This record gives sequence, structure tokens and C-alpha cells, in this order.
Amino acid sequence: MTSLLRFCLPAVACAGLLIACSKQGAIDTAALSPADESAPVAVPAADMPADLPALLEQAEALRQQAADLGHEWSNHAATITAAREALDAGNSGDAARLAPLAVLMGEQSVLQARTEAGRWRAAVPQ
Amino acid sequence: MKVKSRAKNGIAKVKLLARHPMHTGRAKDADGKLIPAHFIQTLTCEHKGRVVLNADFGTSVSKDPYLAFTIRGAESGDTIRLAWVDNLGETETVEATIG
Amino acid sequence: MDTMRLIVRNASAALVLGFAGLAAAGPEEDRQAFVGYFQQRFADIPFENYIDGAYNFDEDARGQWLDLEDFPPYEFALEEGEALFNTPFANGGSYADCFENGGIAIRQNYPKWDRENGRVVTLELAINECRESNGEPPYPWQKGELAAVSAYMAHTSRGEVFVIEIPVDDPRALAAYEEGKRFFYTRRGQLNMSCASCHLDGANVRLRAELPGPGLGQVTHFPVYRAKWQELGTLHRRYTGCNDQVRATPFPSQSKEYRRLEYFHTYMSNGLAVNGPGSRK
Repeated sequence: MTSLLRFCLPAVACAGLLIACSKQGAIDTAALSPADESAPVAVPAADMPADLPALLEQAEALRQQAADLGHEWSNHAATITAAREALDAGNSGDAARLAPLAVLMGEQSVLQARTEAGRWRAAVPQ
Repeated sequence: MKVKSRAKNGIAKVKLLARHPMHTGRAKDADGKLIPAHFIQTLTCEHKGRVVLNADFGTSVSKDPYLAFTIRGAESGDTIRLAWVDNLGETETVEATIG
Repeated sequence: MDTMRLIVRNASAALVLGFAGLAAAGPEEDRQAFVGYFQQRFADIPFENYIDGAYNFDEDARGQWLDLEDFPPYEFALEEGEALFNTPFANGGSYADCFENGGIAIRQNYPKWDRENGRVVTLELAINECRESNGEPPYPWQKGELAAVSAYMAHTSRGEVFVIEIPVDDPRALAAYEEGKRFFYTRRGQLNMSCASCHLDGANVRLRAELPGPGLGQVTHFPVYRAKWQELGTLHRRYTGCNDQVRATPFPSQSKEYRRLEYFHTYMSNGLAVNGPGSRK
């Protein structure tokens, strides 16, 4: 009985300490778990960046360019749609995160097409 | 149901392939409606009047089940009788000769 | 490490070229280099066994597969395919009218270069064009009846060795082959991987729980019953899945891109036997 207490009490105490600390903000428990990309970033609604619609247009143009080069990424269109929906819903946190991401995906896929055009031959066994 | 069987030294190896959709009842069709459960519940094998295999299948067995098992005390020329019953009461029985 | 090997490989290749003069590197040279790559990495696999794919890498998996081949999961679809193949069309015509040798034991000749139309013709494309020229609606690609008929035609050809031809007197054929070859080695998708990433350098290198099969002998067993699909699927269905898996937007089945890829991919297996339809995980 005493050995059980000796084992359990410290564990209970640690848990209590952890909970107490997180309530006071001393330990950021959110930071302890792996970053969740789908979790919305808290940004006040008044701070919706003005350039987001232009970014979306740019992302769509890049997506089309990548598609013409045969290198469209299969999750690109969905990312653009998600950004547009966030923008329309006034969800500035998601919109501010997704719109630049959609542009980046477009740039990367077009870059991939161009780089691979010069690189692929090196992969052929001689 | 297709059955193949071969005996050697008193042990027969039996293989069977049953034709059955084995719907779990949890999957949805193209219109989004649940496909009703339709799966083999039991499969038995009889040899010389006694049941040598009694298998409870169920929803974890996938489409067109394939099963292999051995029977001790079986010789070439013996007959085995395989039968399955599904959750809708449908059955199939096949008799095969051990090769 | 890979970059080092690449540099060394290219350096030695350049050296050889320098001494021997610029050797004309055509499809046959490509194929020999392709075969040589695998035989150097996997010295224990006899050439003719490459048609068994990843089963060459795992003895337990091979044992289970051989056991299963007594009652292959594609058996029902194969019977359906035979029935479909032998059923005349509404206008009285048949598949046998469209193909050489009545459509029997011809799988090993496809894909072919269609000189008249300047395109690569795969067996599955030919099956549907046969239907259309006889007033029948084409089958949907990738699975179902098309896969069943393709499986039957492959089955009648088992044992025949692939003899894909790239006519030397039609430069468009070579260009199509080169496009297919480019596709095989080009990285695509958000995961930035090419066919070669998994099936050349990545062959027998664990990818999550799987061991990718070698690119050599890879097409010989199609159409294939994949346990994941719970049914037969065509080569282009698998191309679609592979592209999806690296987050690259796939091309349509029987598109120019996939037909050219199949042309290159099958040419690389010249000399290996047809063993379709197959069964895989």
C-alpha cells in the first residue's frame, strides 16, 4: 500500500503541477504537441490583408501555368478554393495563411517543371 | 465456389475461392446510400460424415473469400462437402473429390 | 550519397564515350543499360524472373502469392473477360475481326506505333476502338469489362516474350518513346518523385510497409488484381494512382502522356514473358 502511494503520488503531483502551470500560462501545453497545420491562426478580423485577392489571382494563374506544363499538383486547386472560401467568410487567419501558400505551391510546381526539364536525363542509367 | 484439394501421407490440403460480395453494411454507394450488409456468416467442411472445419466469417473477410486449410486422415478419392451460409440466408454447397 | 554515385556514374559514362566516340544511344542501348542497372544491383535474380516484380525481394510474400495462384483472385474476372471476348457485337462483328491472329496470343506486340495516325496504340485503346468501329459504346477505362477483356487477351499470351518495336524509319515513333522515357524519369507532384524514384533507385527500398518492385518486368503482369482495389485494374489505373500518391494531378487514362509512358515502359521489358493478368497486394 505504501509502495503504491510512493509510486502514484509523485505522478499525481506532477500532473497536478502541469495542469496548474498551464492554467497560469507558465507552460504552453499547445506547444508540446506537434504543430497542427489545419488549426486556425488567431488573427483579428480587422487585419484582413488587402493583397489577398491579388494573391489568389496569382495562385490561379500559376496553377494554370503548371497544368499547361503537365506539372499541376493535385492539392493545388483545393488549396486555392480553401483560401478563397476563407477570404469570403472573413476568416482572415486562414486566408492570410492559405493565400500565400497557394502562391508558393504555384511557384514551386512551375519551378519543378522547369528544373526537371534540365535534370531528368541525369537520372537515366548509362 | 471453386474447390481444389490434394492429399499426401494422410493429410489433404484444401483451397477454396468463394464468390461473394462480402458487403459489411458500412460502405456507401456512388449516391451516398449505405450498401446493405451481405456477407458469409459460416462456412463448414464435412469429411466422412463429420464436420472438420467450422468457420465464422463475418464482415472482416473481404470480397470473394479465399481459404486454405488441411484435413488429417484424408485420402485421395475421398469426398468433402463445403457449404456456406450468409446473413441473408443464402447458401452454396459444393462437393469435391480429393485429388 | 546518391549525388556522389550519380557523379561517378556520369563521369565514367563520359569517359567511355570519350574513348569509344559518341555512341548512338537509342532505345536498345537504353534497354540494355536499364537491364544492366538491375542486374548489377540484384545479381541473384535471373532475368526471366523479373516478371514476378517485388515478389523477387521477399520470399515469404512470394510463397503466399504462389499459394494464391492456385485460385487467383482474378479468376472470376478472367472468365467474364473470355465470355465478353467471344460474344459477337450487335452487328455480328467480333473482337477477333479487329486483331491479328483473331486477338489470341498478341499481347506481347502492344503498345504499337500507328504509322497512319502518328500515335502510340495500346491494347486497351485498340479494344475500345474495335468496339466503336463495330457500333458499340466504348467501355469505361481503368476497370470492369475493359480490364476483363484485356485480362483474357493477356492470359492467352502468357509465355510470349514482349517484342515492342520502334520503327527506325518513322522519327515520330522515336520521339514518342523519348517522351515516355522523359515521363518515367521526371519528378512531379508535391512529393517531387518520379517513377524512377521508387522503381529504379527505390526498388527494394522500404517505402512505409512496402518494397517497390523493379521497373524491369513491371508491366508484364497487367491488368492486375490488386488487393487494395478488390478487383482488376489496368496499367493506366495504376499510373493514375501513382501520380495521385505523389500529389501530381494524374493524366486521363489512355491520354497521350500515359500511352507514351507505356510505350517506353513496355519496351524496357522486351525479352520478358507476358504473365498477365497478375495479382498483387
